[in-house]
Amino acid sequence: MKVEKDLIVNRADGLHARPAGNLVKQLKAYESSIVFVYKDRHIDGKSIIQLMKLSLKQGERVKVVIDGHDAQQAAAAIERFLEH
Amino acid sequence: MSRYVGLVLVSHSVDLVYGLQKLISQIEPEVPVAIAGGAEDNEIGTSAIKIKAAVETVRSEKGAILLFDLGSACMNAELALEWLGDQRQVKIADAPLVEGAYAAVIESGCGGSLDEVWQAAQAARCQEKMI
Repeated sequence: MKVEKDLIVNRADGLHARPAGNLVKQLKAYESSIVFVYKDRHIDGKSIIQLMKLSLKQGERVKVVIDGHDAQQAAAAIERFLEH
Repeated sequence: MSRYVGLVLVSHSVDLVYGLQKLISQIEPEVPVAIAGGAEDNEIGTSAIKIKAAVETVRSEKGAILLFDLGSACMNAELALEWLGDQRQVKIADAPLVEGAYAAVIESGCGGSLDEVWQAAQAARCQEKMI
């Protein structure tokens, strides 16, 4: 199953080094591939090194493309994470 | 014994690794991180004695990764490992200190093996900082 979503970062602190570390830990638990698309760049959501570059402020938009059998669950987890 | 691969941060400056330890320990508080900053008198430099002691503090049965700031620190790091005798479970990463430590601490916190943590640090070499 493939899930594509445009998400808005609602977390007050945005997405930067510390929360990105937490996010990567969560995403590694899913079997689906998880790719963030930001400014035409594709960022592997399970790669610490790639995700640490993704600095997002509150209110910014990011697209996520998830492919695999647990795509829905992974999408829900990302939405929750970006919410607060 | 920790269930995480330990990290040793080596720098010519005590302050530099002290700050970095605080930063990465916020991200993964459970991963053991030791620092070896400055020469024996805490002036700018590195110390094989300090590095050896730091490795002994954090080395678990899963091993430890050593990261350093500038090339010349590597000599003392290698000397410290020689003194330790059994070097099989300690690896030196050739990586930028901040990004490498950040990647390594997360990989270790995820339960990564010594090789996985080392590879995460090494991968930081080829990354741009910005998108």
